[in-house]
Amino acid sequence: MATNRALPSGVTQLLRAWAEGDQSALEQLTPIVYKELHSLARRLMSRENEGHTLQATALIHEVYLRLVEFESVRWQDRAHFFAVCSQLMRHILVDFARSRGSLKRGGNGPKLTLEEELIVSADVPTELLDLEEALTKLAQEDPRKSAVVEMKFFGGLRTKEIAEVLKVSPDTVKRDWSMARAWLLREMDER
Amino acid sequence: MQSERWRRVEQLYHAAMELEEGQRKAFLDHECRGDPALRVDVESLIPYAQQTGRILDKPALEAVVGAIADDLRAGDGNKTGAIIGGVSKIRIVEKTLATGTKLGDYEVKSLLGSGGMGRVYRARDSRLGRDVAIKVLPSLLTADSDRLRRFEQEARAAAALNHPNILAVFQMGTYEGAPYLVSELLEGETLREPIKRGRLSVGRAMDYGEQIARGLSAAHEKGIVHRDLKPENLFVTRDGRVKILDFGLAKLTEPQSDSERPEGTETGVVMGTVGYMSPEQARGLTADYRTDIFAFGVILYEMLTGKRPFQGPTSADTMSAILIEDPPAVSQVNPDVPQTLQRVVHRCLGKNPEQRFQSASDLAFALDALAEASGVVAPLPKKDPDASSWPNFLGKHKLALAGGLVLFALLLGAALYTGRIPSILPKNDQVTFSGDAYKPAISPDGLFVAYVSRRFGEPDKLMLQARNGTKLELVRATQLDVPRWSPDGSELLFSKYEPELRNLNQNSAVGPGIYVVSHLGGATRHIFQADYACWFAPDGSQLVTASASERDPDFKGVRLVNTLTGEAKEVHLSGYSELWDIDCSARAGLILAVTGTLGNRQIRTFRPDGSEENKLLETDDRIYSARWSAAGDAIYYLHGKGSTKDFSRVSLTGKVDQVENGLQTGRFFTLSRDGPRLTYTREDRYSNLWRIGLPAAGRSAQPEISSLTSGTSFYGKPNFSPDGRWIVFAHGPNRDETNIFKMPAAGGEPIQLTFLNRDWATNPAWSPDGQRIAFVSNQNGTPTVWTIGANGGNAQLLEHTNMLNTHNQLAWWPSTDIVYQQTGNQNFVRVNDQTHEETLIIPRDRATGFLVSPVFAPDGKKMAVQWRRDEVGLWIISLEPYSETLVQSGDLNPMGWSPDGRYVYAIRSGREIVRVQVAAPNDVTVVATLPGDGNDAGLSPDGKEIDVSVSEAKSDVWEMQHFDPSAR
Repeated sequence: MATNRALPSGVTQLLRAWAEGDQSALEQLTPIVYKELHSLARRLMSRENEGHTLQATALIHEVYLRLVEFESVRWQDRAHFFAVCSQLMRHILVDFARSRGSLKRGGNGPKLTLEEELIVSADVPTELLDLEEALTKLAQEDPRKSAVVEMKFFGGLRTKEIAEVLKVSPDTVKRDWSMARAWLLREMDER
Repeated sequence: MQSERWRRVEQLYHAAMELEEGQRKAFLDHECRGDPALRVDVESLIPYAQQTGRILDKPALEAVVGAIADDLRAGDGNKTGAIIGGVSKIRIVEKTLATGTKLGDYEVKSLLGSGGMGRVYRARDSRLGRDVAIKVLPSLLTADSDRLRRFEQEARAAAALNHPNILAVFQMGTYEGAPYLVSELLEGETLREPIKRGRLSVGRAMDYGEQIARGLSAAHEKGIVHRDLKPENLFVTRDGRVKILDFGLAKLTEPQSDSERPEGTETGVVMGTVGYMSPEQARGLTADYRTDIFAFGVILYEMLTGKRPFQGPTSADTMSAILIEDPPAVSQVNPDVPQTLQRVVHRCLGKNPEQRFQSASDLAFALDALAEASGVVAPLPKKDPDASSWPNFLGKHKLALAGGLVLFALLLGAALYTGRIPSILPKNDQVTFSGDAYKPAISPDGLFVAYVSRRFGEPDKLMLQARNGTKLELVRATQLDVPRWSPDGSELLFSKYEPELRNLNQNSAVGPGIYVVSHLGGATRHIFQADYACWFAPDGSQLVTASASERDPDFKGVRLVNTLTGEAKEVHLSGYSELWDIDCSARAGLILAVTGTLGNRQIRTFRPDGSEENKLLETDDRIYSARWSAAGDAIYYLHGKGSTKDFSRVSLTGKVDQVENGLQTGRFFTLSRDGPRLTYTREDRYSNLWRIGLPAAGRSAQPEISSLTSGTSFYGKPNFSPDGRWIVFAHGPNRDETNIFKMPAAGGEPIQLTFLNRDWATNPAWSPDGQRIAFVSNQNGTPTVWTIGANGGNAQLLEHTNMLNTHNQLAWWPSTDIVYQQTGNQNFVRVNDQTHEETLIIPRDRATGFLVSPVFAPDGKKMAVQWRRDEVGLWIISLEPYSETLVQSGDLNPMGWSPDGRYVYAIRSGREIVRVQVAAPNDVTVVATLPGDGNDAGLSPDGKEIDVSVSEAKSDVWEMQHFDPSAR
């Protein structure tokens, strides 16, 4: 019941704690990441107004750079560290999609009130939920492929980095991705 | 886990992908001989490999950030903000409550349905043995505590309406952070269903319409606007009664007030269901009760025609139609609709709010009259007993009016046509947005509002705010109070108190002084020592002042003070024990005083020479403030018991009328002299429990402070059980509606011990053996002492125990005696829990002043108490034989003794917890600084932990126009 009011410790420590199985670390991390996403969205818009578009990978690395004290992560840990970041992103982004979904779709039960034609946009989040479901299925079939997707899609990692984490060749990562991607898309469409 | 089959599919997939497109078929034909399923499995993957632009093709982060950006572009930033604020609780939204889950007294039976605004369950009310509906709202919508509070306020107000056409809400609460509403369980369907089946008969549409209008009218009268009216929010019960659902919910999704909006967004966010939106909503402008009238028109139109008046292929088209187009005439779609009814519909649909019906009651009236006149027989199955309580004017006079009805309808039609339906509803506008504004006073010309800005831990400021929002700080002091404008609007009087200057400045010698300052600022002028004052002479040359009897015990009455010379003339009054408030009317040449005797209040008026004293009224309600009407012919006053407040008017002949303007918040109001306007405050105060872990003696470590409860309700009076395993406390929606709860000291679910409704039970104190808990409650009208078993059961009244109406006056002697403070007796009384025998603690000749917070030493021989007499401070009273010692002066509220009896812990000035050494006065150590305004606290028996109740408060000034709809 009593919650400690100590300031949230560094993101790096939280990530470590979470990787080691401390679920409460996620609760602390989530709002921090959300805040970051929000400010990113704002900056994205202002850059668009100036005629710039933002590279996806640049975007991801910007998030990490802002979140994590890079100096404190030893070089050899880095790849593994990114893998953990990817898992975190997956959690948070899917959670986000879920919350938006519940706002916009109004759930599946009989409709009661207020959900008709709310003026809102973007169906990305709902697709993300379908993907999450398919990805969980894929993990049962082929855990490595699911990890590749997690790192590439949610974590924004480059092929080389993924290969390093999984200790396989970059070619294998490419092949895994190709197969997993096709399989997931099919799975999503067949639902 | 990887199956043979999977590996084979993968192998073939990669092989096929490496081939040219034309070769794949032959390759697969060959490889999948005799296994057509395998072939399908591989082949069906290939087109996906060639698709582009799918979700996986750019990082999820980009897509999500893009979606947020889309929202921001669409002006939907607030909602994203809400999501972001609420992320840690998102899972609650997803969860469906299992059968058997307990929410307070209610046990969930089944899910009835779900929607964007939460899930609705059927639940059993175990106490009353009935089924209810519980709507659990998504916590992410309510992560913004401010907004949640506003919603709560409104939902509570709507719940209090108790109207047959409004869903009855029984209770509100939170479950794992998600707020829920308990309401009556209805059987039937939403209005959407019959409309889907086709248009309604004219008679039925008019009947439903009239019911909806009556419900709306009841809400609007209390200043509550729905803002999201639509067929989905209207429920038709099996017996044909229409109920409006979800009052207040629209508040959760609507834009925040101006000051809270992020910079750069000029108008509000467009939310709500497009088809039923009013033009002002579509524009993002302020939506008042006439927005509901518009939505009502859309619904009536839809009931009569089966179609919506404004309907486009996209939301944007629909909105543009709402803003610009005139809908097709109702009779064009349904020729059965009479002209008169058609006029009513179209009059609701005016683009400009001024063009619509100006009140829902006019609308209900018009529909009722039309139904009668046109001979359309509405279905009449309303057999519920509460139907008779409808405010149905026509119903009572139908027979008498029958002959004149056609004529009446014609007249009404003419009135509709020319747009003259005279009725003005009160209109509320927020004036300040800083959350720190108290005691407003509107200037005689109505151009300025003066108020006291009060923030925790800072000196008070007397502020002046102009119509355009410009602010000016006039005065700053430790305590400022009740500013009032001089009759010519050039000066303000106020009371000022600076206790820390007590001995340096003679003017502050005994409590507050009355000062005057120019409305342009500058030096202040001391006039007289008193608590409150009002201007008397129209030229500002005379004030009337008064003080609390505590400060001025030898004088009963008011003083007429010359503002230039300071000369004072006494006006004696009698027959009361306390003077609470005064106000002057130069116009009437009269002064009013709110006085109090035991448990009741009087309003009396008298001439400045003391003549013509007249007791206008006597009530057992609390009177929060009373003010003369501009004309000096009546007095308005805000009064009530507990958290329910009413606004009333008493004439000089003593005739009392309740004024239906919805004002029931705050404690203070003032009236303008130039028109029907009043300023008042809307105040929110909530308190939570915090735990302070004390560092071991002699260590200088920082104490650990953590929160035990969080929310927007009241948690107070924490007290540890003698064995240290439990804490007991008072909890409820606000300070005036509380029950006693206990909770394991180590944390866990609270257990409710008392079950009062709208009354309060507070100040729980454990018996030394831990078997019983004594508390103070007003459940039988006046504050009395009760006891209850530590595990609940029936509470027992201690006969003859009349408490003062304060909350800090009860303790349990380390024996079988309860100690409490008796009304009219500045003393503590010991009463034996078994024999009920009573003894006074302080010798009669010493008993003066005011005693608060008695706390006994572990050995039962000494008592620490705050004593407010000539010297306010922490006193230690030895009991046998009696002796008294001032240990430390100042605003110290004792809460516990260290186990060895050497120290007393106390809250100082609501800001910090100090430890005072009993044997060595002036040895005071600050133990912890509180995270807010500290009220009261309990010390664990081992002396290691303190649980403290800390308050936060918000108050803003509002202005109400046409505050007295009946005075015209």
